[in-house]
Amino acid sequence: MKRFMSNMLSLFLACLGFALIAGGLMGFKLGTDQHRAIITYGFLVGNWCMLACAVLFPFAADTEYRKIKRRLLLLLSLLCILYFIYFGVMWTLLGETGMKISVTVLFILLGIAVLFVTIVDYFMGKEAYRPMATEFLSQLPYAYYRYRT
Amino acid sequence: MDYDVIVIGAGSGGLSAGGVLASQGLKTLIIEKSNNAGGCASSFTANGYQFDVGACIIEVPWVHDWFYERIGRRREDYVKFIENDPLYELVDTTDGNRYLMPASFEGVAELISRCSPRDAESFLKFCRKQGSIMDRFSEVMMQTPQGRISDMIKLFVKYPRILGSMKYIMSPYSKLMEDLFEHPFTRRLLGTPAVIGGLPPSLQSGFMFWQCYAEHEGMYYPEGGMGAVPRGMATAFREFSGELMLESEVKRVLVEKGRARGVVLTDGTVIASKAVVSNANSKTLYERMIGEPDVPKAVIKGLNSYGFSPSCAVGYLGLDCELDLRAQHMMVLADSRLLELFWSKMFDEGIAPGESVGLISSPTYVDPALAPEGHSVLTFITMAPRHLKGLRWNDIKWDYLEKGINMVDSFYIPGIKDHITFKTIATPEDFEKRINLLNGSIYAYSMSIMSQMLFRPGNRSRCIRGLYLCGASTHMGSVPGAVASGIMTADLALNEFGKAA
Repeated sequence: MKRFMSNMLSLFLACLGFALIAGGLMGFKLGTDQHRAIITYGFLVGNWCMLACAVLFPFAADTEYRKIKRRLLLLLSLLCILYFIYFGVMWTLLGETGMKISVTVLFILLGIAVLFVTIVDYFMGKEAYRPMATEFLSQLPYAYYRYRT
Repeated sequence: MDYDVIVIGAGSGGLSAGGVLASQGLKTLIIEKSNNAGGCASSFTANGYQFDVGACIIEVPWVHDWFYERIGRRREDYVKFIENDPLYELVDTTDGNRYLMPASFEGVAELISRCSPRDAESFLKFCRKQGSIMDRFSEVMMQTPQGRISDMIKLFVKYPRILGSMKYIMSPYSKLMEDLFEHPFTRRLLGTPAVIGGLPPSLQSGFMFWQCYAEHEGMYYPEGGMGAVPRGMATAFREFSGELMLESEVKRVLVEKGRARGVVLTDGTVIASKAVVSNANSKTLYERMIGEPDVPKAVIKGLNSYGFSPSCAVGYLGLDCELDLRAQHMMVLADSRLLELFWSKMFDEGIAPGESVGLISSPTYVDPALAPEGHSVLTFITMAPRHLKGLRWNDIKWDYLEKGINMVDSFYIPGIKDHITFKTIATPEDFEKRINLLNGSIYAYSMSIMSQMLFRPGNRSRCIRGLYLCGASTHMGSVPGAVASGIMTADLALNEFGKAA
């Protein structure tokens, strides 16, 4: 059951990530009303889903990983709120082109972040992969510097 | 200019780079700090016994053949390899039972089938399906520099089939063992390569399982001891008018306007060259031999971020008897949880393992000429932390040697204590001082995925023109990896001289 729920969450996050990227890619072609619609659905609904996941899904994880899983989901939820505030403020300030650029860039970035969290969650959620995934993530910030060597 | 190329260090990488460069007509000088070439893969003589300093197995022998082919020679004319069959004898920590590891896959499968026919079938299936893919990928990896993103793309374009094996590469070794095999014995039997590969089973990539396949391609020992390998390479190097300067230490690499121009020795001698190849650890090279401002801060930060691979202590014994052994090498067969525990104690807590012995090698089993008649040579290798918690190696090394001898005597080869005529030990600290193994680490930097390929120092320096790097700190894979890195580095340097590889 735990494994099933964990896989369902990964599937949900992956779908959300791809949907956000797709929304971003289409962003340049959409009109103002459509922008408002995808912003509302993308962030407000996305945020509620994320909060619901943060409450429900950590129970599908083992004790060691439960806290991390909740924090990851709350972090994504917070990101959604920040995006929503940004667009709320910019709604009236940005012209149509500005909005198009904002939607395209920010949706794609958020989509990538969600996909990254999906991958991290998928591997960290499995006990056998956790030491390797932790090691990998702890060294990830040095990737650029190591490439320079 | 005094030389076309100066090579710093006569380890396996430096000798192969120097050999290829000299064979292409470049005036090449190799400078070595110690009094003989080979580094980890060298030998020393004491009381009439010849000991291997560290490395005592030749695996992936085609790399050595490749080196000699590249310089237009035949390996057999310089060094002969004796095949190990059986590969080694395994001693089970749980019940003391002993098993001979056969050289053939079928033999291994037969050994496994005594406990679990299903595991035997899994092993054969893996070897048939994945073994050849991993083997070919390893070959491509050994022959392709991995310093740039374009190199990586080339690597996968050269061998796209590897993408189908990514699930094994990305899987932890311990998980792969659990997925493939059901019986604890099989997991113990095939679990050791994880640690030999330089990481505990939970952190090691499943790619190391390729080792189980690769060793059945053949394990060898050079006639005349491990030192015969660098001796052969040095002989070939000299035949192309290459110069080998022993007992000379490079203090600094001369850099002018972002380009390597030669070296300064510790005695103040300045030797100019058009290019410099370094077989020294890249951290030593960039931090001590060059330093800021020629080396950017980002590079220093990158170098400081690397973890180190494990370090070892080696006990060397001369015996006044012929040993009754069934194989040249003996290894411990341990449960992965035990291996994890040992690893954590040693490298996280800095506790010397005491009675643990990982690998025992008796080269006189295959080459009796390495000891006086009727005598034998035996070395035992234990993984050991470079920095001990609250202790210094110099204070405990002899006690540590005695514990190791007791372990060998009571668990592996009973009765040898009464036949010891010579004994000595080299600790990780000794390896650091004598052969410049930074932190005493046998494979330089950590073997984790984030310290490999793009994320390991490049064979062509990314910040100084005319500077090339080879050896373990640039390329994974022990002695064969170092030899291969030398050849690739030489190829990159040859491009600079307008000579096609």
